[in-house]
Amino acid sequence: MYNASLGENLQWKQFVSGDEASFTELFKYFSKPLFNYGTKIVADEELVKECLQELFLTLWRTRTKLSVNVVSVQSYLFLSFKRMLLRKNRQAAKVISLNRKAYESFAVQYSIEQVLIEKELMQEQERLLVAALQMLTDRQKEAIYLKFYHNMSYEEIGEIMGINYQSLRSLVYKAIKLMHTHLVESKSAGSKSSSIRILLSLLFI
Amino acid sequence: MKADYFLNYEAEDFVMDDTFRNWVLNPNYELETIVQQYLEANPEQKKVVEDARIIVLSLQVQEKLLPEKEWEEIYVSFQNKLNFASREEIKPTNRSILSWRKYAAVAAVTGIIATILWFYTADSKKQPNSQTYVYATNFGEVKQVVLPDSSVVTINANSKLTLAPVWSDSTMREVWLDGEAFFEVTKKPGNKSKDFFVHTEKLNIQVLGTSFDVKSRTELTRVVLTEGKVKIQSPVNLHEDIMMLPGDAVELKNKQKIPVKLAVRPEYFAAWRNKQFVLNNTSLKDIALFIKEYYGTEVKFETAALEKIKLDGTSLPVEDEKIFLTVIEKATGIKIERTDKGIVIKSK
Repeated sequence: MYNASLGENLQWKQFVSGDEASFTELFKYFSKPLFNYGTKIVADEELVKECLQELFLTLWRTRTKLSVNVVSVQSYLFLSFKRMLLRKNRQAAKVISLNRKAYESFAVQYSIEQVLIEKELMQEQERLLVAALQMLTDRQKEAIYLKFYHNMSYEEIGEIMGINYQSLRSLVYKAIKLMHTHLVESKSAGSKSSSIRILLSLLFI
Repeated sequence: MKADYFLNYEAEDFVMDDTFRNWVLNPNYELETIVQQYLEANPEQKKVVEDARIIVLSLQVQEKLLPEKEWEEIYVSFQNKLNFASREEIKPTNRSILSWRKYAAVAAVTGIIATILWFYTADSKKQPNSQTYVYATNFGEVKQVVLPDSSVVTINANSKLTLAPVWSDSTMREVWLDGEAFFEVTKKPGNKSKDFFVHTEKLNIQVLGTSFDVKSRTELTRVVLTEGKVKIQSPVNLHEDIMMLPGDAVELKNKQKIPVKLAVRPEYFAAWRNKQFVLNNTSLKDIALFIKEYYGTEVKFETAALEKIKLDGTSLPVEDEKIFLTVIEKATGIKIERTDKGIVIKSK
């Protein structure tokens, strides 16, 4: 991703100086990843699409106030987008009903069926992995998503999530360790089977 | 490239490793070779690698993709908006809220006579093409926008105004309105561009420079003239032209086929621009309709009799829904209960 990153920085510089074409390129390059990310934060797809345009148009209008040398265009955009979505989501919740609170979570969907098909996992193994995934915190899900799906560096993820490098690595490590522990458990018979059954009844977001 | 550093890896370390993940998800000949060589040298790690592989696969994310065609539309729409935004920067757009008075005065002084034509064409549902710019307001929001020809439109809550991003001198000026807006249209020379059209769901309105309010909601389509003189040409079914003077309104209710002319106080119908709701022997039924249109809140009445209660004599600020409802409560002696679907109006 190194070369791509150089390209983005150049386009960002040009955009800040007022180049529409570069800015349109940035929009095209980042809209799909941002859209995917946005739908994890906010359920309303239409809201995500609207915010995507609004974010970029706002950036255009305020470009003279932006820094020419931003270290990672990607994390800057992801962070700004996240903030805008959360703000809009809270406002929207207020209009719909004064009683309902905006539920903020990280709603990522894991495609574990894929694993099942490929690896012919035993049913028990699959259930344990599903249970483990369910036990991941929203922070863990978000960090893993940004790392494994968007291939971001820990520095970038740290910027977006507001966590430092060490805490982040530790967060991700713990998540993976949890999954490994559960997977290993499938070998030993009958351990923790009752608590796992309770976990199975939870809806898999 | 050798994977010597894999040597003391546990499952977690494999999963965190970029190269390993690449091998699991996007294997190529080189990666395959590395891993195979490693496993041959360290057969006791087979189980660990296998576990790690399963975990990497489990953490794969399901993405619901939008169709490519939709992305193309999104890109085009963005480019138009960007275009529009940069053009707006070139024009001086420091309009104060009060500048509309200047335009109204100019319109009066130069004595512009406007003609509004009503069409009952089968094709009155003319839709904008895909390259459009949309100004939309939320519930409780009022927005003022300047069109490419310097006309000023004040858009009421829960409304949508659509137009093409670029207006040239050789095309006619047109907008599509869903909801309510107050128009102050500038006079333009030229063959085609002198006409200004407002398309609503039920009617198409043709204008030549004037100030008027257009309301196009589910129950009613209505035009109220503030400034200027207007002639409505007869549509196919009617025999006479309709002359409109300031203070006239022409209404077409949902079930009617022929529009009706009334005399009104136009400032009542434009009061929403100052975020006020005017009470003029207004029934709770009408107020309920306003609450639904403006705030998006559903209203139910405990008894039908309550709908007939009337309020008169003042105007209420509408910016805060809670305050608005409280005032209604106190003025009429009713009780408003909030449910998760909206509000219910009950007697005390």
